[in-house]
Amino acid sequence: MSSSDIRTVELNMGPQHPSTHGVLRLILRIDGEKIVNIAPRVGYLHRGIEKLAENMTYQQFTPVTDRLDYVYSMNNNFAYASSVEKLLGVTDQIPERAQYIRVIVAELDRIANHLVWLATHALDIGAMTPYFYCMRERELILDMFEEISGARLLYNYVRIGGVAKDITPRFMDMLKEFVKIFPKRWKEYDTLLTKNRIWMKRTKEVAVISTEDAINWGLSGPSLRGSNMEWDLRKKKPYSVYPELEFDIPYYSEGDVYARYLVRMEEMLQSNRILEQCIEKIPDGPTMMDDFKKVSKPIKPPAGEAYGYNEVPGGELGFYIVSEGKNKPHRMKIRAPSFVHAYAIPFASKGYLISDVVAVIGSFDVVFGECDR
Amino acid sequence: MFFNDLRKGFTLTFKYLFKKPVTENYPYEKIEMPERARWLHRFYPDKCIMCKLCENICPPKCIAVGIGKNPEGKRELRGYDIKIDRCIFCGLCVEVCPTKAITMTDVHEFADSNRNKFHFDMEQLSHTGEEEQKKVG
Repeated sequence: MSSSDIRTVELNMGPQHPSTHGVLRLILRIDGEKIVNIAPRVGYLHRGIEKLAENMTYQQFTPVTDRLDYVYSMNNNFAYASSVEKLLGVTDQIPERAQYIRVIVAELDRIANHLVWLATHALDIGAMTPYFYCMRERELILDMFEEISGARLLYNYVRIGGVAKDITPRFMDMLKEFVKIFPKRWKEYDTLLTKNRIWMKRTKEVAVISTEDAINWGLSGPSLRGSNMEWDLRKKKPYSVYPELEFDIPYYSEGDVYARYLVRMEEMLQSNRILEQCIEKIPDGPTMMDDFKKVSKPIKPPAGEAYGYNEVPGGELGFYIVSEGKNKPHRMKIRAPSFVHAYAIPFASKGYLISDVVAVIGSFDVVFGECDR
Repeated sequence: MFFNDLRKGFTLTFKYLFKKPVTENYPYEKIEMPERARWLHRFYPDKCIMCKLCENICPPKCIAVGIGKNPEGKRELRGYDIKIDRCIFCGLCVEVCPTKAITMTDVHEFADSNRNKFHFDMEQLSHTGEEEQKKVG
C-alpha cells in the first residue's frame, strides 16, 4: 500500500441510491471530495435474457425484448424485429404503411424516453419543476400507445413482418394534437433549464470527453453526439423509411454534460419534425406481411447469422442472431448501449467532485434493464 | 442578473396556479380503458377446441389446459388455469386462439396480498368482469 492509498477513502454508492437510476452500484475511491477512481458493479437486475432467447421461438421473444430498456420498449421491439427480418432476408418486403407506423411509434417513444431522462436528470441535479412538466407530456404519449397496443409500458406492438394491429383514427387525432402542442411545451423546459445559471454551473465543463475518447469507449447516440461527432445510424446507415424523411442530427463540440443535455433537447424537436412528416406521408395498405400474420406459425430462418442495429434513444442497440435453421435462435447477443455507457462513467468522472458523479450518471441515460439484461 | 433568472422561472410556474390540474383523481374516479386494453383474461369454455396453442405460445408458460376423456372416449375440457402472477400480459394467447375462446378484458383491479389467490381456474376466468358489476350494483 503506497502513501497515496492511505489518503484516499472508499465510499459505496448504490445499489439503492435515489440518483443511480435503478440498481447501479459504484464504489468510489475519493481523496477528500475528489474522485480518484470508480469501480462500477452491475448485474443486480440480471435475468439472463440472452439465454432465454435460446429457448423461445422468434415470436415468443418479442415481449421479452420489451423488458430490455423499459423506458423505450417500442424501439426495442423495432430493433429486434428488423434484426430477425435481416436474418430472414425480407427487409424490403415490409408493407409501406407498417414501416411508417414503426417510425411513428419509434419517434414518439424517443420523445417519451428523453422526457423521462430530462425529468430524472433535472431532479438529480436539484430542479424539481421540470419533472412534473415532463411527466405530463409523457402521459399523452403513453395514452396514445395504450390506444394502439393496449398496454402502457410493455407494448409488444412492433412484430416480425410488420406491426401487431393497425393504428386507429383516434390515435391519429391524438398524434396530430400532440405534434401541435409539443413545441410549446418544449419551450417551457427550455425556459426552466437551458439558460438557468445554477443548471449551467452544475453541468458546464463537467465530465468533458474528447471525440477520440468517446469513440474509443464505444459511446453511441446522444452521448457521442455531445462530443463533436456527427453520427446517427438513421442517417449514416439508413434503415426503414428514414431516407425519405427530413431531419437534422444535432451535435455539439463541448463534450460535457451540458452538451449532451443540449443534444437530447434538440433531438426531441427533430423527432417532432419527423412525426409531422409521417402524418402527411403515411399511405394506406396492409400493416403485416402475409407470411407472418399467424403468430403460432413457426419462423425458420436459414442457417446463418445477422447483426441488426437501430438508433434507439440511448444509442446503438444491436441484436446479433445466429440461426441453425430451427425455429429458435442458436445464440443471441444483445449489444446494449447502457452497458457500454455504464463503463464510461469512471473514465468521465475521474478528477471531478462526488456531486458531479450524479450529473454524469444522468447525462449518459443508463437504464439497468438493458445494462444487466 | 440573478434576479432575472428567478423571474423567468417563477413567471412560468406562477401561470400554472390558475390552470386546471392535469392529474386524475384515480381511485375515486375510474379511468376509461381503450378497446384494446390488455388486462385480466376471460375464458369461454364452450368455444374452446382444446388445441393448446395458447399453452405453447405463452412466453412465461403460465397457462395450463387440462384435457381428459369422458366415458364415451371423447376428449373433453377438464380445466383451464392461468397463473396470473407469472403472466406478463403480452396478449399472444389471445392472438393465437382460432375460436376467440380466450380474450382480454379491461378488469385491472385485482391486487391482493395473498399470492395463492393469483392462480385463476376455469370457473373464475369464465366470469371475469361480472363480479365487478355486482359490486357496483
